[in-house]
Amino acid sequence: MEELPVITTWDLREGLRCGARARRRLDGNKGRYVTSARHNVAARIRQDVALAHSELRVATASDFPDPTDLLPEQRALYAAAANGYLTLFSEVAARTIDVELFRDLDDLGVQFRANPGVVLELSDGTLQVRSLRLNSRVPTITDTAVWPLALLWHDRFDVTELHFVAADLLALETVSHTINFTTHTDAAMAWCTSSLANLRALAAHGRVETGSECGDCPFIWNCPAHEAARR
Amino acid sequence: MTAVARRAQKFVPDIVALSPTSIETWTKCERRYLLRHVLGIPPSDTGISNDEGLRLHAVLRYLHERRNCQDNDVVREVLTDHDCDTDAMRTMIARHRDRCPTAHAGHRFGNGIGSETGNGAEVDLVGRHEIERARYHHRPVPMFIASARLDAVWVHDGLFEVRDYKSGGLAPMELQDDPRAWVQAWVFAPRALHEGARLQLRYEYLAPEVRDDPEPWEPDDDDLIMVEERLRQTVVSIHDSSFAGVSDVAVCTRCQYRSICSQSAAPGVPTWPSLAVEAFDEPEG
Repeated sequence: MEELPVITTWDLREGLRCGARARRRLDGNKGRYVTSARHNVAARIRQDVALAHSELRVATASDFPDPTDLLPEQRALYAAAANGYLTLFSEVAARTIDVELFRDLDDLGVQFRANPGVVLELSDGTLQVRSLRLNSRVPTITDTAVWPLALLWHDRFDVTELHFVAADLLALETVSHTINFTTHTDAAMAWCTSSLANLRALAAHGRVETGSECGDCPFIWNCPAHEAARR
Repeated sequence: MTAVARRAQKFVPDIVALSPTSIETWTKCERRYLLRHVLGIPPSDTGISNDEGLRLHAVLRYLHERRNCQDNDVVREVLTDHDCDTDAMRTMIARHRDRCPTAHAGHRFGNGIGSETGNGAEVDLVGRHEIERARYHHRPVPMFIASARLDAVWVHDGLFEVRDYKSGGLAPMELQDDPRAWVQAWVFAPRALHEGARLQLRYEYLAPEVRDDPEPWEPDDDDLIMVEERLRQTVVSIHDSSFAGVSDVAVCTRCQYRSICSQSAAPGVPTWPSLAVEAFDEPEG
């Protein structure tokens, strides 16, 4: 069976400029990403949170062991973030739920992938997704943060509502939003369809543009905009 | 080299990203470069506010794109509308006015660059703000990607004139010696060539305490080859670095990582609220 091209929330955001990158994404090219250490600590925190809730309980300090393989400053950041998590989420026991982070959208000809956060079932049966951030500022929840959850999981659970919490573990601030699958799914599909149309238009007519997006572009190695560099 | 330093080296990506800001950080403190640009750690301490600089750039962009920086009444109105009609802002705009290409008689002004002009009018001065470009270096290794966002580009009289507005009061250096200018020149040289114009970089220091701007720099082909090699050598140094901090009180006191940096000469307590709460005790049993 032929694989569908993979599309993520990043591909569907507004303001993309480069037609070459859009074309390759839609052609199903995977490219090769440059490894980056910028999200090491956030990834470690998410991993340890998921592990802490592998059974129904609240997390404790021992769930966040000092990451001695990281640098001292990363360890300081990890300690602050772990303290933030324990402060913000110490009240209610929760259990991690394993869910698929992709959905084939056959009608649109793509596979949609997203990783919105740690998915948990709370002790009262509520479903909650925790988006854990280390930005040191008040978090926000945009529609484009909410719609991927409806796209991915609207028919996955027995319940019709999911509680989405964005938490900044350094600033100790949270915002939340309740997603109703009955009302949000159509809007999410409309967003995906329209954004995908924009991406396809960019791929068909867009110029090859260089800019800060090139820094994490998986196609930089053989991009026509940077051809002179390889001569 | 220590084990920690070797560990730090492993975090440097195969393709190093250079920008005017990152290369300036690198020249000031290698540790700070590591924390900010390689590891992406959010600042743990308060720094010097750049709010006024951001407002100045926004006002200049607005004036050039929609109004006229040469008209005193318009400037006053725009400053009032942007809620920044202060002596400092008026002084900086006034200092800019005389140096702005729009002040030159006979220039017919339009927005956009080259084919992007868009307004269809015949112009001999084209200006555009906040343009961003990137350029990739593949061989000889190490690879790097340099990107720069320019405050303004003016195309006139055969020049592709890159302007960088500076609101700070630090003494300027010659542009050919300034690593920030190397990045900007190397990234935008192909664009100038495409426009059939000579590349010129110019830094406009608008704070009253800086009396003279550095001389504009027009790098030729040989200069640009040398610039590329300097950037490459910088990336070689980044790959080889042990990321030692400068550990100088004068520098560290102003650093936004002074409280968590392992080599800080001015340690303190991080401003992260999460560290201000008490750690949780382990539950009994």
